[in-house]
Amino acid sequence: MKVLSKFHKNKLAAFDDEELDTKLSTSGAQLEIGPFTVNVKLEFKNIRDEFIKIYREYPFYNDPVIHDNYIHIYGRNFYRKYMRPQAFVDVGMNEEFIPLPASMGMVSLEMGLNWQVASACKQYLMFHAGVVAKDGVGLIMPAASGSGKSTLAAGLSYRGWQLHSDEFGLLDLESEELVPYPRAVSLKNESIPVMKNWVAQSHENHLDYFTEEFEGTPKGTICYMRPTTQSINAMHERTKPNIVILPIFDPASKPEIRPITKTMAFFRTVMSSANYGDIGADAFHAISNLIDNARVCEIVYPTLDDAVKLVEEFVGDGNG
Amino acid sequence: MANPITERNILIRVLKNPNLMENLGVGEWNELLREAKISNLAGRLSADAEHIGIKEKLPLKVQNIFKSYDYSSRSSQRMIRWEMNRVKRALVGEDYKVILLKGAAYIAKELKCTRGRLSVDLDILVEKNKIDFAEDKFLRHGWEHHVENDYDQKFYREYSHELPPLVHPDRQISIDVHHSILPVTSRVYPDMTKLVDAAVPSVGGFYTFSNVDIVLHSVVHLWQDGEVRSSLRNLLEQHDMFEEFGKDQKFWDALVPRAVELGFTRALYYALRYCKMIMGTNIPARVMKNIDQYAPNGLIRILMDWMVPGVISPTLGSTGLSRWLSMNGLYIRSHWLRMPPFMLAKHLSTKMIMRIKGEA
Repeated sequence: MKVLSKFHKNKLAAFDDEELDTKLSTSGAQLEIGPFTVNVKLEFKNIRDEFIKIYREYPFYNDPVIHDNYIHIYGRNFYRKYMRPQAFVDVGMNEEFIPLPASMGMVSLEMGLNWQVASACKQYLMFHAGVVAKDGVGLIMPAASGSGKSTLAAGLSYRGWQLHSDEFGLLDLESEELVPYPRAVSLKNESIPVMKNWVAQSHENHLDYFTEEFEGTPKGTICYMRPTTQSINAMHERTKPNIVILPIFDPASKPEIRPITKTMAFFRTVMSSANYGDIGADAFHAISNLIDNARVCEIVYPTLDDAVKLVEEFVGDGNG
Repeated sequence: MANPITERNILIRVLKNPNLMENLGVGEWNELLREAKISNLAGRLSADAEHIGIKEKLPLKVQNIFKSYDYSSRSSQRMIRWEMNRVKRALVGEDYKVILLKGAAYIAKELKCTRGRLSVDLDILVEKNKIDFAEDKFLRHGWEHHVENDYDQKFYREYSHELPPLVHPDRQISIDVHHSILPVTSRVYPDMTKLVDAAVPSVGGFYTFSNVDIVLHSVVHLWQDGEVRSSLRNLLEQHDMFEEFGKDQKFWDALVPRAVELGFTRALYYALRYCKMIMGTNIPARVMKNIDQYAPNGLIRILMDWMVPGVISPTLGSTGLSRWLSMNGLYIRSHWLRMPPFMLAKHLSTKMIMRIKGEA
């Protein structure tokens, strides 16, 4: 692991589940995900159990380190802790979240983590995109919500690709490398059975990779999936981006790779970037370079299986 | 006269002496960053570290976090400047003064307090007889009203000192167009022509208040009209301006007499007292002595000394009942000063009913 500072020299700990549970319920567990460290405190046992199921393979710091963020989920008073438990979220940013029932606390946790990155991360250029990497190929798939990019990125990661992120692609502005941020993959509605089936094809005990399904959330049914062990272990391995694919999910379509101009790819990538305007000129130059050096296309696909084949085909064409 | 509560607070200590950042431990950094984010001052810490040349010596993790806040403050100020450019196109060039207020004025004058500052709205002022004209210009140039509901619209127009906020749909900056710096219902109502007459030309055809009036505006905004709780950033901006403008003795000579002229002596008393107490501001003894004659009575002074340091930062001070009393005491005070009692009761009850009905 790259040594970040004198404060980061202390060993990352391999906690067992019980130790992690104790940390989470007391001073907090210092979770490292890619470039960010967040101190997580969870007052509810059910949320800790789900958290541990998803994050147990991640690095946790033993000695205190400087955190990028902290997140604290708690019951505001006796009634909200024990009678009708409700998960209040404190992300330390003067923002108030609408509390969800404690049974959906994992959703609150993930949304809180999303919010912190989405609102405060300007030191990396951020794409609303699925990002994966393999053998020196850095692949960005910018797309709006509902285009299936989360499912596609997650699907590729369970077929040998390293998952950078299913929705927060990060680019270091100096080295122009993609920075992995492998959070739990957030699956919604129809994509849940698709991914469960997908993981079952290649992994035993596939349900170990998923949380329970949270029904009736503000975004419908949500289920979180753990990234592959390989992706978690590679969270500090950065890759130069060299392929941009715009994915379009259309159940009625014939699978197809369509050429697009670099100009179009440039604009679509800019549009996917949440902090492009804040970063300004540096972001413009970074995306210009990125697109200059990348092969680009659009894919239309009716199923995940088709999408993975199209991606592999387009990537393979460049190597062969 | 230092206050024991604020003296212990790490954010205030570092703001007063940024060199402390060179030798902070992990726990102190976490506490400092947490407080700075809540008070919207993380960008300021970064700018201070840069200014005194210690940024490269800070832990890499901190440098990385600061980089994010550097981009945020730069971009927010860039957006304000661009919005000023758009406002100029819509409004400036007529035969009346368009005066930049608050953050926009600080940015136009490149004051020290804009260092690392996050600015989200644009405040301008025109004379009252030009307010309808200005509103019409904005609406013709594509700005829209942000507040739709009738009660709020009516409240703004009848009792407030500004138009309902205007937002251009292409940009997300909210513009407040003022005709006064205090609500028309306020206990103290300044003669605005005095402030407008003293305003001086600034960038792009805009005007700003004179230096003394810029400070007094910030002062009445915080100590007369606004909320004291969680306003460390505003206290800091006053501290910065006292230090920056105060290099010129003429500023100090003019300050108290101008406050007397405009009726802002009580607010200025609090600003000088708490800047000195909390931030250790350099204020000439003659000025402190001069403003002392406008102090409130002993009981109020004791109450304010007890309440203000405990709530100026959201993470400060006591907990439980005493904090609750301080917070709510100052909240009620700010409203009490804004409008007469009957009107206040009517306003708060209307807002409460709207909230219950889910309309606001």
